[in-house]
Amino acid sequence: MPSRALRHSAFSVPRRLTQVGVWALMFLLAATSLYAHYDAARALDDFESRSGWRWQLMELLHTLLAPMDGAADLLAATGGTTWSLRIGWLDLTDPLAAAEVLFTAQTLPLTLAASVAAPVLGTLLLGKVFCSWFCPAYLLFELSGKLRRLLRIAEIQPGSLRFSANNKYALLAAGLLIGAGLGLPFFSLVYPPAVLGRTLHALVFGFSMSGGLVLLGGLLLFELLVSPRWWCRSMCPGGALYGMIGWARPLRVGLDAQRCDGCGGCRPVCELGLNPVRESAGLECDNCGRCVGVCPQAALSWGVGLPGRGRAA
Amino acid sequence: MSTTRRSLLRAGLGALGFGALVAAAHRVMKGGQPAYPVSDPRRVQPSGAPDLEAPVEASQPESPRLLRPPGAVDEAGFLATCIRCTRCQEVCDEGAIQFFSETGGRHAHTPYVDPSRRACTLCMKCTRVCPSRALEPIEERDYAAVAMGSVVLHEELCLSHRARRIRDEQDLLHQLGRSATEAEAPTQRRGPCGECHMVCPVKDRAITLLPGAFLAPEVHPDDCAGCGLCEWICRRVTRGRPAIRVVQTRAWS
Repeated sequence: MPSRALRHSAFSVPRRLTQVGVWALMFLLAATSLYAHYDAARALDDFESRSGWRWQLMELLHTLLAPMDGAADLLAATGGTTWSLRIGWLDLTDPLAAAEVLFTAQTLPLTLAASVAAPVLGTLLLGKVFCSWFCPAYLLFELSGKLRRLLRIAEIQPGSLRFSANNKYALLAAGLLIGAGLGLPFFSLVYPPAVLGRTLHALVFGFSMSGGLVLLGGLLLFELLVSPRWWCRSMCPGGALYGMIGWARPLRVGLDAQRCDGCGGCRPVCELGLNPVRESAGLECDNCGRCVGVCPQAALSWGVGLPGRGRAA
Repeated sequence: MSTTRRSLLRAGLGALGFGALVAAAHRVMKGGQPAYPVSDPRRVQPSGAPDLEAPVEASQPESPRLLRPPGAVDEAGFLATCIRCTRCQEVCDEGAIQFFSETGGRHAHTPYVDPSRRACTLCMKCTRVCPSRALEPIEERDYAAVAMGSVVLHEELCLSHRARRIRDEQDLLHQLGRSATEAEAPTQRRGPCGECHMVCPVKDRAITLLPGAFLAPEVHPDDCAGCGLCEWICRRVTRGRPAIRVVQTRAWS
């Protein structure tokens, strides 16, 4: 049996690296898109501005990319945010966007279906790993959870209201119906990962991003002071959708009841506020693996299992 | 006591959250004319389509015109299908595509092209990158499939038309009968301008040249893709008072 520290870092380190990588990737995708604009303007010597950090960044990218053959072609096909992006030939879109278009437009364009195929397949096999490993807003909300500890150290007791995890399914249904009623994709406008992606994009391109900042800042403040991890635990319509898609996931956290001594050490680490001993195999778990790493008895482990039950022993 | 207080607080916060969501939905739901990004308060969309047939005064500010990128489906379909993903804007190297800001109501975060700022070069990349087919894919150089807008010509501002008129007046004055040689010659001699015809992607259909030496353009709005390249070049030639202008034809819901 590997040591506890090793088991702990086996998942937490790659997960954190992936999360930070997604942020870096989104920034990079926006920066390279801006570079393509800069490059086109350079050909005509038609720049809108020749100062500021954007200009410096573009000059830097130019010294890096100009000598590279084929870089321009690759960049031309690459861009987007986690809401919808393309890297080379790989086109990926959030399944929530497809679900929403299905309701608002009452059709599912073939390109959109193809674009969500890989994420849906991944969620079918691995569960809600988009949330715990890739979602850029999840990382932000995790950080707000960590900030709550700082508040406690400063002897400020933040509120810890809990709301039902079922709210998110109601919000998913309500949002889809609102979208269908208005003929507008409602979640595209307010879904935090989509808003965050657009805000990062706006930051790089120099567009107005106040709406996104207000929405994300409000959510962060609410989580910080009123209800920990409120959005992911009880509100996120994307989480609800991925949870349902990944209900029958083969990969899930299982419990070896013989080993578990009921210490409860896994409960506080669960990002979604679940009790891993009872709920790690259910609809809510996003397979982040923190409970697996923290269990002193190694009673929780990864495995192949059926919905509603632990993995086959 | 404490449990009822807690549940009251909980219900209150739930109501607050729900209220915030309803407010967000209401804000999104508000219809009306699309507004430009808040960063530029000068630009406000007037009610109704701008009247570009009206005579152009030097002091009169230009009416803003809003076009959707090429291949855009009808407006209701566009608002329903566009997932506000920013990819069409990213792929637009010319920087013609911009976004309505969050104050744009139903149009928030959807793409537009402002022909008074930058022209679309009809590269069609945005139509092929759109994941949800709010922009229908258009093949390269299939300019006939594009209907972003239309075009109108103000002859009183056009250099070629003005030169032509001056020549006509001179000819009339001189009554020498030598006007025929010039008037019937094809475009052998360069006129004063003719740039809009040169730059037009649907050359000889949307913009044709009048017979004569002056390269005076004639526009055919039905064949125009609405890309705005003619306006873009004319703006430079005329130093800010383009004679040829794109017209908004799209019905904004």
